[in-house]
Amino acid sequence: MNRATHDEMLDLVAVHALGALPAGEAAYASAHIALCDECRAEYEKLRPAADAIALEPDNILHARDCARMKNRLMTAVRQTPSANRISRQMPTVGALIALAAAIVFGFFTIADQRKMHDLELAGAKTYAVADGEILKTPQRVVLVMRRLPPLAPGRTYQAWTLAPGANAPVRGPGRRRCGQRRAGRREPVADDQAALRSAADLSALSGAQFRLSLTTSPTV
Amino acid sequence: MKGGPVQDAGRLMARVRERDTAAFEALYETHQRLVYGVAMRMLDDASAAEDVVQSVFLALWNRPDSFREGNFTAWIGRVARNRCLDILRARKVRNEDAMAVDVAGDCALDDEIFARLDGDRVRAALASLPEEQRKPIEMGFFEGVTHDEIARRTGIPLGTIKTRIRTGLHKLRDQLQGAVVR
Repeated sequence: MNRATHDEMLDLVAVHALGALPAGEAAYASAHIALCDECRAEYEKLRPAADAIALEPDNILHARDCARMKNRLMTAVRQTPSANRISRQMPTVGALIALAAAIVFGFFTIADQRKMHDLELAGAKTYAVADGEILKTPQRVVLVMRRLPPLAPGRTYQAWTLAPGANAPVRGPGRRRCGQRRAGRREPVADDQAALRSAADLSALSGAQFRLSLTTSPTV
Repeated sequence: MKGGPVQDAGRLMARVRERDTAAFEALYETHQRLVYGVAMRMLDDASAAEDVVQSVFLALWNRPDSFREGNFTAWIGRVARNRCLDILRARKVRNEDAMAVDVAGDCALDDEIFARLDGDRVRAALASLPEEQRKPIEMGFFEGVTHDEIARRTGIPLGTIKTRIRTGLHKLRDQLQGAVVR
């Protein structure tokens, strides 16, 4: 990628930080950011500025409305399951992830090879999986795929890194959950593409071996 | 990380995971206006904005592990925006590409800046931007439109829009950084 092209990429990264890219371009930008130090630095520099825009609105919320909204919320909260019930559910998560790992890659086909070109030039090792592709550098791993099946409203895809033999995500200084995207309900499935960036510290993985799994879960 | 509010939110979230309703109420009290403000600005509908507040915080209570690390304020602002984008999409049939939904908290946020920001500083920083930069930034953030649509609506070439967004975000960051240092 020459300088002029890369400057255009930096512009794209800025729009991505703002959250104003269509899904396909956002996936491409995410994949590039995962392996390009300059673009990642730009993204991490601009993202907080974009996030801060959420503080801009100055709507007056009257005390009466505040109290009513809070009462409504807390009534709903008191009707939710107890802590004990939630904690009993947690051990099943790892098992579900392990199960998902065995079947996940059957869903996808290989991503646009032209868009993969930049990543390959960056020196990443490429591994073909059943219907997708994984690019790995010593620091990062990128999963690129397309034709994600549509999800039910309110659910997201999530990618995870798992140590060999483990049935739970890797823990370490990085994040356990390495990426997620919500399937656009209006996107043409044939054009759907996602790149999930692992923020996990791969050095925490024994022998640099790991598994990736993809699961679905409710969005927040 | 120097910001007390960031650490406070982290501690409160740890208690929320243990089903501490008092901690949850404290988080709600400090972030309700932010979520409501984003929703009102994006949806222009008080009833819908209230529903967004309800759904965002109820989801937080039901799935506290959805917040993992980073700046809670930035995170919940993005969650609120994403929820509003869902609603905006449902309101109209879009022929264009669906906008990507960002991962809340998928990158390290600049906690030091964020912890010391408030609405006045952000409004002042945004107001200081040239309109040609502020407008596409606000359209992209609050109206939930893609850069292509911003270009179409404004009649400005797409490449120019992208460059203006980037330049504007850099200036915004510099302004915000300067505001918290002063």
